[in-house]
Amino acid sequence: MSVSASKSNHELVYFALVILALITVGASFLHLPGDENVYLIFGLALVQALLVAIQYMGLKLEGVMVYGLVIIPLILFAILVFLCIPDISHYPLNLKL
Amino acid sequence: MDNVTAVDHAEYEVEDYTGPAGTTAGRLGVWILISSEITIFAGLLGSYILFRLFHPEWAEESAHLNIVLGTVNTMLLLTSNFFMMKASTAVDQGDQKKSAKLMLITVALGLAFLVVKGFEYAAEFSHGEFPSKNTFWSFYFLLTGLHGTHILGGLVAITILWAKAKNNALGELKGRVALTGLYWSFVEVVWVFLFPLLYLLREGGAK
Repeated sequence: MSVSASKSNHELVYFALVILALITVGASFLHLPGDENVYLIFGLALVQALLVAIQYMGLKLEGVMVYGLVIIPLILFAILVFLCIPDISHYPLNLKL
Repeated sequence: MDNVTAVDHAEYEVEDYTGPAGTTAGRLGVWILISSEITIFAGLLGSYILFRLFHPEWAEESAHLNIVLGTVNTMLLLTSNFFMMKASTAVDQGDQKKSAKLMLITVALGLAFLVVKGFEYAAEFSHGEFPSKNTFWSFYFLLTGLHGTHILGGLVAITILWAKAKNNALGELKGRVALTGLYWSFVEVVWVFLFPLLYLLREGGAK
C-alpha cells in the first residue's frame, strides 16, 4: 500500500503537534471552573493522537481490517470501564487540578 | 501443487505482498502488534484513570514531577518521530544515505529521551519516591518504565536499519524502515496520553 499521500504533510503535522503540545502544557496552568482544564487537556491530547495516527501512521489509507485491529481493543477497554461502573458509582468523582 | 504454491509465495517480499484486505503483510503484522499494545496500554491507563478519579490527593504527588523535563521529552519524541517519517520517505525515494542520517538523528533524540527520563528517575529516587511509596508512584514507574522499554526496543530496530542504510545495504529490508516508523509513531501516541495523565493533572499548575 502506498502511503505517499500522507508523506507530503510531515512538516505541517510536526508543527501542529508541537503547537498543540505547548497549548496542552499551557492549558494545565489555566484556572478554569470545574473540571474544564481536564477536558481541554485530554481533548488536545486526542487531537494530537489522531493527527499522528492519520497522518504519520497512514491510518486514513488503511483497509477495514486495520480499523478493526485498532477499534476492537478500544471496545474491550470501554467494556472494562463499563463493568467497573457499578463498583465505583457510589463514590463522588474528584479530578482536582 | 504444494511446491508451486511455495514458490509463488517465495517470490513476494513480506512488505510487498498485498492480501485481499488491501494491506501489505508487513504492515498488517505491525498493526496486529500495535493492536496488542493498545490492549496493554489502554488497560493500564484505564486502571490509572479510575484510580485517579477517586484519589484527588494524587494531584499533590503529581506536582513532584518535573513538568519542564516532561515537556522537553515530549518535544524530543515528537521531533524524533518526525525524522523517522523523513527517513522512511528518503528510503522510498531510493536515498539510503540520507535515510541513514535521518535515522541517526532519530536514534540520538530517542536516546536523549531516555537520558532525560534517567535524570528524572534519579531526582525522584533521591526524594524517596520509589514504586513502593504509594499507588501513584507504582503507576508512574510502571507506565513510564513500560513506555521506556518500548522506546529502547524501537531504538534497537532503528539502529539495525541505520547500520544497513549507511552502507547502502538495506536491500530487501527497505520496507522495514516504514514499518519501524509505524511502530515509532505508536510509541509517540502512547506518550501523548501518558504525559498529561501523569504530569499535567497536578496541584497548583507548575512547580
